[in-house]
Amino acid sequence: MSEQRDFGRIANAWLDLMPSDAPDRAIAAVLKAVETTPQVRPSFIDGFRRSPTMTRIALVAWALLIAAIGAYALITGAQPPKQTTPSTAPSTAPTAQAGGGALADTLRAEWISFTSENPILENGAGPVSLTIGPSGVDVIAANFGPGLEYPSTTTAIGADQFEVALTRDGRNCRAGDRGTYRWSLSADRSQLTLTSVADSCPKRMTVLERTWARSLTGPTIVGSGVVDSLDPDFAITLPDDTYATRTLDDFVEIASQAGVALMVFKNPQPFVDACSTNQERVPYEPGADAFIATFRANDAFDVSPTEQLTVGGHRTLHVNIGGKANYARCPGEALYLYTPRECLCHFVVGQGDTDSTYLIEVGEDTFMFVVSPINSPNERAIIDSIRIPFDLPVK
Amino acid sequence: MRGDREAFGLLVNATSDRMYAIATRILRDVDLAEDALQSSLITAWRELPRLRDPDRFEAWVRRLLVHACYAEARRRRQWAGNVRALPVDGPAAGDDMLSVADRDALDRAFRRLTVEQRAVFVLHHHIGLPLVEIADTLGIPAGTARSRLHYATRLLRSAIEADMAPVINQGRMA
Repeated sequence: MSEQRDFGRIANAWLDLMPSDAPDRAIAAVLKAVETTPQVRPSFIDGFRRSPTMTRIALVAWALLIAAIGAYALITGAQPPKQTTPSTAPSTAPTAQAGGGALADTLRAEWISFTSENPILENGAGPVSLTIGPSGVDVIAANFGPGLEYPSTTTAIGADQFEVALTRDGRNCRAGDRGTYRWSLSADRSQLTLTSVADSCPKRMTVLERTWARSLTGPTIVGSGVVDSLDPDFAITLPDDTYATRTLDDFVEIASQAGVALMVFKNPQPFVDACSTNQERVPYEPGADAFIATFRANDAFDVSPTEQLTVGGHRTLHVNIGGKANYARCPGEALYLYTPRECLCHFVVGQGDTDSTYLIEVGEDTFMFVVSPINSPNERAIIDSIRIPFDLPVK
Repeated sequence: MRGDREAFGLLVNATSDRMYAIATRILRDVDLAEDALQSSLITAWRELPRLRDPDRFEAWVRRLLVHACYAEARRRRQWAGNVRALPVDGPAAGDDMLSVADRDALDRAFRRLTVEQRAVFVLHHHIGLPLVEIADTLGIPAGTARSRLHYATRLLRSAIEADMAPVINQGRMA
């Protein structure tokens, strides 16, 4: 009995180590999403069974009306009204618009840009962003200054235009103010250019009308874009898929539904002992050679011959680093690998598992790109597409 | 509709800490837990008209949360390939009986459990739910809940016991 009680206490103490307070940003994100998320209606059948007689009659009448309209369309060959043909074709063909006038799914993303000092907006220079919501019916800017977010609903009007309507008062603008914008995507769909056709809210036009780069640290279905969570920013092209990301200090992981993951570490620092939970680090030495030499000297790992490349004009070394199978000092345990120098975190690899590792030297910093799974068919194309540093569009 | 949203906001504020605590313990990762929390609360809002008994809100949303944790755990398996980030160290334990070796042994053993076993263990040990209620929350037979808890407990206990002597012999402690 005492053993049982002690285990319970130990287990509870261990469980209590994890945080229990939901971050405010998570709650705020939920409440914001709820504002634009429709609720399901109870199922039609259930509702029908429970509905009073008059409602049932109304439902039957409504169903008959819909059927009659459908029959009329079949008999007359009537077509729905055509949308306006765009006067200027965008650089890539827009994908089909979602129902209800939502914006194309290729536009739904977080877009980033760099604004220069602007007296109209009364702001200084700096990075700014524009989020087109996941349902494609709303847009909001960020970091331009107080009152310059201009949260707006969006409605597609044709293949390359959309209308915006301000949802609440903003700086010098009133809720309901409308504007129309033409959009075009670059050939690789990594950049979005918005051009004003008209806007009754002139400051919103100054905010929106610019070229934006797709952020890969926000939700996106297009794999070509910019990662701005590390310094400096870098651009990369991943295969199109649905992506999600997670970040730690000097670390970002971008992963697709298809199971291909890209992990990026700035200035990786190996651990001394692959089996030790103490996480003692090898003194940091800059450069790819020192990093690889540390792993070659550690009998817990298998390291392939080094391949030298040039990526984006930078010296790059490629090796495969794997946890030795059946490593005798800590059998069956994951092996401690490395951490970004500025991160209080640690990364491990399973025994017998191997990853493809590219170390790109950018000035005094080393950026390590790990592609998983190893020998992914797109691996070299992904690495070759890296441009670091990457300058955001400026206006 | 405005009133519905305000009422839902109050429910979110009242329950989110408890839900987040469950998610962090099942997933052992604060980022994934945040995603699971958000996803389950948004699902709760969307599906709220189907909840017939308002008194069951917390149990119902807890079930949504555990399923969101299952989805996040699968997503992480898809993602991470071979290299894995372990959770950043949490606050120091308030209980002196929990040594660094215990923590490490439990961390490692817990990662070997399936997410379904983890959920039962957390609901039992952290929330204090009896097995029947866990089974009801998760929509599984009571016998399944019992066997998951038994397996998880056996593995975690044996990890602590196994960690004692060999660790010292191997010189793994500082």
